[in-house]
Amino acid sequence: MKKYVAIFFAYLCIAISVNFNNQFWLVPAAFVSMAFLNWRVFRIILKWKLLLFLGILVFCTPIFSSQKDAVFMGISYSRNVFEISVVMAYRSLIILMALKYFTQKISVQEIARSLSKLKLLGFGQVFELSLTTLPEVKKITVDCLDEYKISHPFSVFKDTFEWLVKLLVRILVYADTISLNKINQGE
Amino acid sequence: MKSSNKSLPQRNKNITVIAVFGSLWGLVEITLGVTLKGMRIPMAGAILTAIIIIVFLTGKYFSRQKGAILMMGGIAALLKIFSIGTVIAGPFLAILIEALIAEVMIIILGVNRISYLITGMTLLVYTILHPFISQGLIFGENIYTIYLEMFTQMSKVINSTNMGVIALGYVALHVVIGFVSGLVAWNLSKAVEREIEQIRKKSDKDKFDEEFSA
Repeated sequence: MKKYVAIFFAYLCIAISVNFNNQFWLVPAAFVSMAFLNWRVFRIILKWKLLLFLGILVFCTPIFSSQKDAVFMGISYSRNVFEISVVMAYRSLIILMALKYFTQKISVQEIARSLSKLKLLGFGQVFELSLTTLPEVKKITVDCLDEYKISHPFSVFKDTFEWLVKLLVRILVYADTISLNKINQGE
Repeated sequence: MKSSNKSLPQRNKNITVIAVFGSLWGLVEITLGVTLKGMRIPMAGAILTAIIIIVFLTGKYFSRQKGAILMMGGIAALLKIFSIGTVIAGPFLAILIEALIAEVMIIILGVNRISYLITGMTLLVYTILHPFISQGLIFGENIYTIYLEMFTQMSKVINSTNMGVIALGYVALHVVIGFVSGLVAWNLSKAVEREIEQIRKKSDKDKFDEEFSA
């Protein structure tokens, strides 16, 4: 197993095992070790949308909870909801960091190679072929898109349908030429 | 059409159709997916899923191999995960689950108009449930406790009957979009098949004319 795969799974295990009691040492340990591994992954958790969501999760949900059993600076809140919110926030941050770390390390080509080795229902072969065909499929789609026109405002659906037929026929004809080439090459 | 009895040309054809339609699915996810998300239009996820359904069900019509949709989904998911320089675990998971649901539905119901309609409707309803599933994976099962708490609080403000009507309307809208996408996928597959048949006939006729004139 490659080092980054092992690290990814280790972080997933940490995320699953975080609770309110061990979060005081486990979460800082996870953050510090990730800073040494790749500090760039922290960019993913510094997005305002995510931080706003986590802020609402940790600070607002305990206040608006129906069973308030604790008071902080005169504001009553639910201790249980606060604890589970904190754990959820930490868990999500660790998972997002782990995913970012993993996707930064691995490449599409590497996945294709790994899948070919696995021989998973021939998926590796199909995936490699799809990477080869991708530029041509893109070209066919873009070329066909240039030909898209609406003849009348009331015939938008009819024109779009006809355009889709044209596009898919071209793509299938292209697929046919590749399969013919493959047969000619004796696969 | 059993996979074990498949001739080599047929197997090759199936593989290339899967690869090409998987690429197309990936392209749609990368380009249209990002555009729709950027435009912040309501129900962007449902619209994207409806378009995707048309793509992969048409692909399935021309590649009857078992696991074809799952493979197309695998290709699209892998292309998607490397398309943007950010963590996109949600869409990655969504593509794979959608492909799995569609594959199971088509295996059970076969390739016909009814199965296309049911698959379309099921997948669109799934798009409503997907955020809850992906959030459950990232935040843990406690997120459902929070949702339940929010629902309890909201039901104090909004009448629960009204909330039910709103939810039902939202689900019904998704069912309608799913129905339309399934129907379009079926009609499109038939139209493309007819078109290819015409091209083939024309090409055979041209070949015959060439040989005859020679």
